[in-house]
Amino acid sequence: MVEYSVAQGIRYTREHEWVRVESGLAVVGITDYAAKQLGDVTYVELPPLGKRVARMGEMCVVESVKAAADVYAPLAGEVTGVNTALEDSPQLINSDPYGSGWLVKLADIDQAGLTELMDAGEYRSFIAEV
Amino acid sequence: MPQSTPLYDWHLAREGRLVDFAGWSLPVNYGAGIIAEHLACRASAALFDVSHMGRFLARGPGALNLLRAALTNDAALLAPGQSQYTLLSDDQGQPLDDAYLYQLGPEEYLLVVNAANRQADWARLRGFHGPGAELVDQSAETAMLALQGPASQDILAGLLAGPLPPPERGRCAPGSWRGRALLITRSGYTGEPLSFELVVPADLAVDLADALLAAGASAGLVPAGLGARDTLRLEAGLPLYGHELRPDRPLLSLPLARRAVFLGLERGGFAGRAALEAQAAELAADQAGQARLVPRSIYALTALERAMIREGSPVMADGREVGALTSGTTVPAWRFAGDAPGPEHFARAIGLAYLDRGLGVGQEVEVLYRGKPVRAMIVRRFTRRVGNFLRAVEY
Repeated sequence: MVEYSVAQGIRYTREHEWVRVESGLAVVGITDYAAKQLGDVTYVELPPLGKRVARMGEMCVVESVKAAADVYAPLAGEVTGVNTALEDSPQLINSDPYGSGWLVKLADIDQAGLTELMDAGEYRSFIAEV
Repeated sequence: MPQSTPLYDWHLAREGRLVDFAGWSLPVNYGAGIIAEHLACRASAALFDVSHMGRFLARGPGALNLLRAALTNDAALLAPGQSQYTLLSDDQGQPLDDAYLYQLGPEEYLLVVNAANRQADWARLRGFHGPGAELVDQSAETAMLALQGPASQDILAGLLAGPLPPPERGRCAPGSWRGRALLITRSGYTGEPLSFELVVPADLAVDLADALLAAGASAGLVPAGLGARDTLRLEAGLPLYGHELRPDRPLLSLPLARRAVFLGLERGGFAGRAALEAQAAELAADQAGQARLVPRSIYALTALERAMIREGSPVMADGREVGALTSGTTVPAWRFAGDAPGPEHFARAIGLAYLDRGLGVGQEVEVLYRGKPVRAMIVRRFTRRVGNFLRAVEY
């Protein structure tokens, strides 16, 4: 059985993104479950800074040896940071999905959307059923 | 149920992520992941289980005639201890498989074929059976390990009693380990200047794999799976049957195959000869615009921007679609510090493509991936040899 890690204190989407809100800024990534489903990530197409994304709108693309996966914005907002370390080390998404493998920072976010996302316990149950 | 190699449990014990590949249960990667395995092979060494490949022994006074009739390259050009890249062609000059042929002794040869074509190849070879030739399928009673990379030679020399084959690509020699006979070849599918494959009795495979890993641990040797095997062969510009070679395309559309078809007159007939002669004549006339038999060729291309490209992506030149990728992905590469890999690596998107003939090295093209154009350039190769290392050529 493959074990999936689920980090506490952050929120999750049904599309397997996570979001952590720190002083009004949302940090977004994909979950360990998503990374393991994709396999080794080999390329990440990051969005341009300043791009406005709608809630659950396409934000970036994560490519693995197997497939391309669209990553959706868990919250509406504006892209103010991207993880450029992924350009040469995309495998950070596999090795540290909730830490150095983060994807995008969003500002001007719609915090109300947070309540519609799952917490760690709910997400753990969700992936157990998939 | 897919078949398993003698190393099935060994893969599982090393966190191998097993998949069904051509009817075989084999790891895509181990715990370290494809990128780490690829980079380890280029800087140090990697160990692959390639036991799924078919291994056919041809021996006896009639063996040479059988092989000359069945294969595109001429086995008579070999001497014991040498090998050649070769293909099986159908009568229309289309490839049924590509293979490596090793001459083990005066009347003894080993043909290593792709796992997916093993049964079909076996049946076809049997069809060329003549007097004095014996064919033996050794695939089940043997295992095959590939030890590839700059550290591979020292690791192997330290483990095996007796000498390695002479330091020349493609050479092979008998060896022994713990008193058991094995075959050592200087070959592989990674492009590494130093590379070995070992054909061993099946019951010896696990112990030998363990001993190799232990002997190579301090040098950085890691086990590597099918994922890294594919990115390494792509970076080395090597073809994969079903991608660069297909049974619905002319065999000589693969440049590498042109060196594996021997049309010498003294050789006589062989399967596909007439069709391959016609293809070769057209290529020699070099009128790409009027080509009928070989309208396209396999080219190497590299993206000129950060991007992804994949098999199937259309390729455009001067606003016109000229073909599509047959393989493509992003691959990692070391940044060199002097003549050796430094601490940093980078990623680049490269591919092989089946394109209209007449495109030139250095020509810019566009690859369409998920609807977006990616700037790319036709190149001669993705890597070059630096000492015992294979270094990425950056464009």
